[in-house]
Amino acid sequence: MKALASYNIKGGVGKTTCIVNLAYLAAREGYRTLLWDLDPQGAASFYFRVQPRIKGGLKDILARTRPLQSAIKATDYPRLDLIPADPSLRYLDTKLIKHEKPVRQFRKLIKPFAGQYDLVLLDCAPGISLAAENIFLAVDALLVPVIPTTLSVRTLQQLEKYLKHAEFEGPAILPFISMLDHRKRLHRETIQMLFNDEGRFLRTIIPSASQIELMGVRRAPLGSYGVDSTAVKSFENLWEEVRDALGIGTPGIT
Amino acid sequence: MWKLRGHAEVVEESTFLDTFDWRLYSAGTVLEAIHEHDGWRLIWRNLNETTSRDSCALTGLPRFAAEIDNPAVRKRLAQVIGVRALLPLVRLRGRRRSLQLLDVEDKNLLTLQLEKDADLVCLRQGGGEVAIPRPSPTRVKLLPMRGYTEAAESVRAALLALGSLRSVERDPWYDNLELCGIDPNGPRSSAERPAPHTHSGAAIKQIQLRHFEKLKLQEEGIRQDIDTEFLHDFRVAVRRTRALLRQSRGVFHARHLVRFKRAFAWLGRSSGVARDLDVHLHALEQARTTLPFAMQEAMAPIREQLRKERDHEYQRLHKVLGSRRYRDLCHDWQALLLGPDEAHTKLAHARQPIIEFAGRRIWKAYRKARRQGLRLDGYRDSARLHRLRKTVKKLRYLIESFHHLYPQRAMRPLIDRLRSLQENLGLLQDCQVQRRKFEEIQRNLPAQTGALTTTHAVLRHLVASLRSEDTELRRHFAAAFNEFSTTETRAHFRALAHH
Repeated sequence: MKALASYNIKGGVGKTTCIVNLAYLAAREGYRTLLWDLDPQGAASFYFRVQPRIKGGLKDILARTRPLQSAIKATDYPRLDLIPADPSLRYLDTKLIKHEKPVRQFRKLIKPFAGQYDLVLLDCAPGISLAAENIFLAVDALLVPVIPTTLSVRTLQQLEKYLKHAEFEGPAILPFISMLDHRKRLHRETIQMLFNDEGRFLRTIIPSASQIELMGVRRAPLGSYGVDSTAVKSFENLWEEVRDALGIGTPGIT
Repeated sequence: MWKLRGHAEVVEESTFLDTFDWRLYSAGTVLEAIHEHDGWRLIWRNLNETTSRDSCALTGLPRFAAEIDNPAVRKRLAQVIGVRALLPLVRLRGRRRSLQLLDVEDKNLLTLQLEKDADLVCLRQGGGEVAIPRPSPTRVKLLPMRGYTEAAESVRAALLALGSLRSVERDPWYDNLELCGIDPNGPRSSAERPAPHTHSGAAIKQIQLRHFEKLKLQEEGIRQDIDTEFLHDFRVAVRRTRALLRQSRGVFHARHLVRFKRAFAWLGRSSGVARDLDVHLHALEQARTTLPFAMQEAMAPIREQLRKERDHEYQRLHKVLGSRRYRDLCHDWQALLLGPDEAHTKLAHARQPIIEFAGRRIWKAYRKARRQGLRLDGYRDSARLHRLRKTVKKLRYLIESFHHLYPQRAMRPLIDRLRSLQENLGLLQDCQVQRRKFEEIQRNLPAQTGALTTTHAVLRHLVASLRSEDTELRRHFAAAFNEFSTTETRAHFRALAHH
């Protein structure tokens, strides 16, 4: 089982859109996939039409009085399950701090899924917090969407610096360009600057496209309703890159 | 607040599949390849459950796991069925209509499938397909979604409360098979497993009869070339028979022993090359997945050469199975095994209880293997390693023949300790045989096919990988043998002789 989180210190960079589409593509390819919506906004749950509510809330899960398994809901797509968001996620840090090992809770919670799922994906809320540290210790890689703007690039640098000086061995960082608007000169110039540093970013660029925005209206992953667009192709390319980076095998190799 | 979304009725054909030795059923699962107007799909579910544990689109009826396009589903299925072929058992034709139960967010909570069978075609009968008309009443199948069991339970209770439906207690898969006269638990051996205190003469006959039945069971699969496991199992049965024959002096008359030892050795020799070629082709396929695409394509002449030789060897083997010599061997061997026991036999070991006989033979074979292993250097003594491999295999076959005489807890540690050594020696042998084969192809290929330079590069790569694997396995030999020869393992084996 591999674990991957869609994360950025900054909000509004396309974390949820990205992880929802990757989850769908992974499941479509045959991987047993679990997506955990850790953002109190519950956007991933909304996309999959699942009520953003966990029985007993996070309190019961963290206290181990209710197993995380019991919160799993099947989505309408084969092999893709979801742990929905819950309003109590707003107080996640205050709940985590009460534990003896506050930064290892997520790791412990997802460990039992090893035989059941090939891939566990976490959709995270922005910011560096105790919850974020939990995620760094629980996953194999962080998928970091970066809008080609000064502030977004700056938060990537902050994350890299933080993980470099962390006391634990952090996950791999997989940054990629998100929400690119070709009409904007700043976007074009920033990309050029970022791609000079070869190998730092994934090759795939996710454009800013109305098709992606329409996901909110359709409430379904992009590739699921038969649209054949550049955006769909971009997410497919991104998934292939992520799959290779995680080392979970490629089609044709058994 | 729930609502229903209906889908158009479809006509579909559902083919149930399993391997010859029922690997999917043994794992508690059912595999269906469903064909409807818009193509094929695979449904793999647990017995007595309606929701699938795995599913994917298909391009047609799959014969092997390797033919399934979806890589993850292919891998999971291969973990259960290995290289075995998927044999069609039954084809069910009927109509299906799906209804989805949705919540206010239009999220699917439950699928209700209304099914009506038209007829059933038995496919595992031999001699063509037999259609049995089977107009059934409508069956309502509930496919609950994980996390929404409450909705499924409410609907189930409401439907049963209507009074016109009854709950199905047994998976309809059983009924379909039963209608075709297929028993997933059969065929059972006609020979009983001997009790521990049965006289050796009679007990060995019973055990040999079971090996013989296993051997005969594989014939048809080899003739039809269904999958490579038939020949593998056939050879295992021959080897077990031979291992037991070697220990049967004083149980069978000398003239019988000489004749059948010779005859089964012939059968072993006749099937050896064909099996080696199966293993080479499998190894080539395994190697393919680790090579870049350009090199994968260059493997074609090697594969072609191996396939040609394999086809030739299988033809030879088919002739052996159809020969008078083979028929006589089977007939006479069966007659001897089913013949009356000699009540007043003067043969030395025939009246010894089988448990005593077995324990001593296993202990003797263990000591021989231990002695041989202690004397050799894994890095240098290839010939001695080969001898040790054969002794260890014979020991394994004796244990497999007699294991039922002992409690499982007594045999488990012995088999575990033996297995890692046997695996190490077996892989080492495979490495050497494969390397010799690839070197031989390398020598002959240019003259025969004008092969491309890349094919030679592939062969050099394969030979080099096998060389490094050989070194690695020799390095691990000492650890595997140490585990096999510890005082504790020795005591376990010794205890069998004094059971």
